[in-house]
Amino acid sequence: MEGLHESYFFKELEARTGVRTEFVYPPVGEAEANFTMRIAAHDLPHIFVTPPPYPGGEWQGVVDEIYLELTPYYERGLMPNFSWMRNNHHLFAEEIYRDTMDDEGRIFFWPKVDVVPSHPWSGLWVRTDWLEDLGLEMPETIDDWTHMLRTMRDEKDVAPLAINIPLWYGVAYNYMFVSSFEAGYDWINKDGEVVFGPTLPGYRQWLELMNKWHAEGLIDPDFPARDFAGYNAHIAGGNIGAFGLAYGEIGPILTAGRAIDPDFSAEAVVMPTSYAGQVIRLRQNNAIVRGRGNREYFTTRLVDDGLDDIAVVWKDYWYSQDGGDLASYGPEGVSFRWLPDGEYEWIFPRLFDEAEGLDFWTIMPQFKVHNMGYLRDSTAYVFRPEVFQAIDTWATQSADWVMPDHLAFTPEEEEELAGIMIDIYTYRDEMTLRFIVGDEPITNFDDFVSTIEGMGLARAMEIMNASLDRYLARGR
Amino acid sequence: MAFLNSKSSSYQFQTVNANLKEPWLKKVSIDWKKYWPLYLMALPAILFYLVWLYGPMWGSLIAFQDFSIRHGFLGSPFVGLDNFVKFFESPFAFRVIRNTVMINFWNLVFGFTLPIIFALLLNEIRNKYFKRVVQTITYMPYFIAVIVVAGLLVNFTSSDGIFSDIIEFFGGTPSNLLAQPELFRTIFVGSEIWQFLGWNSIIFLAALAAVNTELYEAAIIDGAGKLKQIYHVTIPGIMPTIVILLILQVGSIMSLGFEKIILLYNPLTYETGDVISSFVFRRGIENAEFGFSAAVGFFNSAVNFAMVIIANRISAKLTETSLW
Repeated sequence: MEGLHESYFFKELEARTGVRTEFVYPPVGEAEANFTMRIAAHDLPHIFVTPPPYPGGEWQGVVDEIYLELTPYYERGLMPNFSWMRNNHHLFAEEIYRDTMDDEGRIFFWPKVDVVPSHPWSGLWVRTDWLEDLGLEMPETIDDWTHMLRTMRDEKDVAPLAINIPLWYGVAYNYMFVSSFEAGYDWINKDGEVVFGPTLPGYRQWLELMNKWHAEGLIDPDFPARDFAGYNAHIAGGNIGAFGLAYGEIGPILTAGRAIDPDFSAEAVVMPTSYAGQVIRLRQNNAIVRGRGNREYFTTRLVDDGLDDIAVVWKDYWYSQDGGDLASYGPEGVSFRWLPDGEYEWIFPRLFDEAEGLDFWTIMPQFKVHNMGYLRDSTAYVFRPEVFQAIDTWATQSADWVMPDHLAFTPEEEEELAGIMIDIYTYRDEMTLRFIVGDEPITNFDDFVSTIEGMGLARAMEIMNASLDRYLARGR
Repeated sequence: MAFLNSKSSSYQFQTVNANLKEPWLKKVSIDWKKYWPLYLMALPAILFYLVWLYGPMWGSLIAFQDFSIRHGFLGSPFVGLDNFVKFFESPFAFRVIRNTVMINFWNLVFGFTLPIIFALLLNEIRNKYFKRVVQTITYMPYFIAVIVVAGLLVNFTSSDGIFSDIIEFFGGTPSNLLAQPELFRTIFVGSEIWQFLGWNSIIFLAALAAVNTELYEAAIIDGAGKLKQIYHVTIPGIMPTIVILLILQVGSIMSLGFEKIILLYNPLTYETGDVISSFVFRRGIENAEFGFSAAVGFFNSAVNFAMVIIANRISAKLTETSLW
């Protein structure tokens, strides 16, 4: 496939709407530079699909007359499907209404909307074949975990826990163990009040536990220096009994792991509790309306070229049931067909051709879209059974302390907040690791907290809380 | 090397200097008539400097602006020294400056002297084939992409890597070496030496080849052994090259690219490994602050410039070799 114009989705979309789309791509690895240059030179496409962050916040893009505000088109009735979704959706109208606009009620982006809700995609896993081997149960409490890891260390002669802190398969996203102590690695929304996780007493308890596990040889000693590839390879290598991971990575790891050890199997597990009767409130979560990285922005060039009305009507079609289905599944008869029981099956040629080393995720761009703005069925992919098990397991726990994805800031707030947090984040990243590996005694935790407070945390918290209040007050 | 202006070779310029009293323009026009092909040959290089190095200097003005990519460099508001204040107010400003200078300092001490010693050793090898093999092997690391070098290092320094195996063999406990702040500079500078030892020795080898062989013959007649020949003939012969390169290297004391740093460091080694460029890189990723990065770059260049001038002065006094 040379480009998206060859995709059966776009061919069918053109046949249905009469609108032809052309695509331009930034050079691989230079998306950010290309985006910046296009803005600086005012050389805009009509639509930016999942652009890099706009300096000063996304609304600044509208202020700078790069992005096009959509509210006037919405009010003129050119977006009937978008409007129906926001006002009449039987399950999620309220949430979609709130999350498709900013605090002033302005609409200016086309988000991916998961009306078949997207589930948690990152969390904890254990090697079930090891559990069976060692006669262990699925761990449910922190003590179970300690016992399990110690047994694995003694019986298998390994440092059994793979952990990452800042990335999407680590603490920052899936709250691994930190949520058992009711803290977080960043901001959390404690029942309507924003607090900074690392300054909470629970964070100290978490650090103490991690430090204990690390000192006992339960945590991979190379964890601070492992990158994404190294982390995955280490899990697949067979010396790890429990890990944090996004479900997208489990397939390749199982394949690679089984090549070495045919019994290699892993299952997702819930976040452990630290006291009896504890309710877990933090895990990886997505809003129905997906956040940055899943949005399209119209640019003001559409107005210059007199195409804005057509483009709005065309894009609105992606939010109709028909348009959303086309984007999610591809054209009927080409990529999928309906079965008598109301289910569907994928029929695209070579879709599961293992001889060619291809799989669904490689072939998918030929007939459907993924990270664009449309009404998505988030289950319209091919997942391994382990993934469905992971989703079901993780989703049993609540995520109501997770910060909403759609807080909005004024450009001034954005700049001030970033200026304060950049140093706090550096300090937090560094000290967290130092506490865990024991370079810094945990008795210095109070100094750690007061240093963060000295870096302007109170002001940052004020900005965050004001934003959350405005967010919660958004309504009709 | 035309920029060499040491006393020993200055007689070459006598004829030009004799015209000093003539007006500047007339001098150039005479010179032009005589040497116009040379001027023509220099033209691309002059244009290169004007277009790529002097032109963009205007861009440094954004260091004093709250730069917006939309409004560009003519439309963005001036904010005076705000960006500089922002940098120096950061609790990490001192640390990243210190780390940059320290890594560059150790790189100067080892990364600069070892290629000279290596070139001297190579120069003494009489077996042509052996010499070529050694040269080729030592140049090779220079051509390995930095991401591959970093990948090798991460593997070698892990708790089950080759360095840990060696440590274990001698009775130590294996651990992840890249998780230890006190080892970061050693690993970084050590790998720089491995990467650049052979490549950096080339220029010294070239200088060595230019040393007049008659001087060696004279030294041998005077009864000088190998070591005395090196001390009295070879080293003085390449001294101007050494000094000039040293001055230039001192002039980049504040410059250290972020590519290899960010591939090797992690928050545990920020204490010794976080440098100016990696600090700015993280900040740039967070909030695309072009004015801020430009201000830090401007500050670095200013310090580097001052260092070149100081080093050049000192060198002119002590060794009679200088850049200008």
